[in-house]
Amino acid sequence: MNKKNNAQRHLWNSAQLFVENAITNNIVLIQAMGLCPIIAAGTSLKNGVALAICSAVVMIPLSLFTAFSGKLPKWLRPALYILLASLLLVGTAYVMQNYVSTQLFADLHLFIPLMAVNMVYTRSIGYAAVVNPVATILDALGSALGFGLVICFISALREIAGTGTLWGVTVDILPITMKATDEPFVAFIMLGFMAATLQWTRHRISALFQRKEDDR
Amino acid sequence: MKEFTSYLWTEAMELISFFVTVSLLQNVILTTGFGSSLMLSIVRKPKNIWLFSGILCIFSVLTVTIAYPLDQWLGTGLDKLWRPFMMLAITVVLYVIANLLLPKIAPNAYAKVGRMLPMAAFNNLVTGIALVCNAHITDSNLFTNIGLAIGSCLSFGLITWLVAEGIERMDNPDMPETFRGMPSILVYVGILALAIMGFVSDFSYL
Repeated sequence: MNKKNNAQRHLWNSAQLFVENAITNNIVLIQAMGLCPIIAAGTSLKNGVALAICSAVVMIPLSLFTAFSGKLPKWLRPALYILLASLLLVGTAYVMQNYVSTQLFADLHLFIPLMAVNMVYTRSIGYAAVVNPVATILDALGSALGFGLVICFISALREIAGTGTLWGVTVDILPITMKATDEPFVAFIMLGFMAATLQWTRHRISALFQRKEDDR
Repeated sequence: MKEFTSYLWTEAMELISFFVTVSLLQNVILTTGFGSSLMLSIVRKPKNIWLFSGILCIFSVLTVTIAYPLDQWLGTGLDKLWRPFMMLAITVVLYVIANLLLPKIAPNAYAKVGRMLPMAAFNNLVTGIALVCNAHITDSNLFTNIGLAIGSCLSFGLITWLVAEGIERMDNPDMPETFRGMPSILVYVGILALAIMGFVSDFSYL
């Protein structure tokens, strides 16, 4: 009975971790990880989705690898992690160039390799080394989802504001287009306001739960 | 001998011009975003900013110094899909050498900087600069690449110090609760990036 309770508790904690990394303690907006691809390459929704997929493709297998690499010296793990990540990304780049879109690869050829040293992964190294594989996978999935949500949202907004299109399709939402949305300062400021919105939402929800507790 | 001295002088001037441009005018974090997460991690420990920037500089300079002649030697012999892997492999080798040698030759230094080595070696700044140098290989040389690497790391140190100073001033009761912490820091960095845009020249990282 104790074992079953423990297993359920671990699963619940892991599920909570998934939701935290994805939304409430978002890996980008609260933990400030993975900013470079969003700022530099998140200028169109296609770029955002491609980089989000690259992130997931690398994070999940590498988190599993790190969860089972406990016997390796601590200082060696980041090096192996980076090498494996870059190998996975070589494969991803090959698939993108030959089977998805040559234009997309040309736009992202500099940023795909940079995903290997994305801080979203390096943060996971320390986490994955001390918990069980299920928690590691859910942590990685949550981080990948959190990163993906933010990069896709920012990329979509920047594409609409910059070129008046979304996924290459013209959308008449804004009366003018602003080429400056490609610049990094726009991404920094948008991220700041998104982080503020998330923080405001968290405070409101906390206050609501606190009021319900006080009412009881 | 005279020609060699003249050549060295010209290359040194190119190195210095790239260094000054990149470190003071075209801040790498604010114009490309390279190293922005790293900056926001280091900014929480202001005492380590310059030490960390120094270690970052060593890794960056050594990576571009080894990658440039290797790239020239390989020429078209290595598919462009594998070149980033080559850059990362160089950094990995440097990191492993640092972790093997430092504990033996300078154990006190290793005790102090050992924890910073993974972050200093594996980040978007070191890899990004190496990739940018590789992308501009036809219109650059070893000296300009070294100038770019040193300048980028100095600009990283400068902006991290500036953000650390800004954070101290933003930590006051007048700041709306919603914007306290990360939101205000991101907006502040965005405004700095907007200000630096005025200095952006013909040289482009990307």
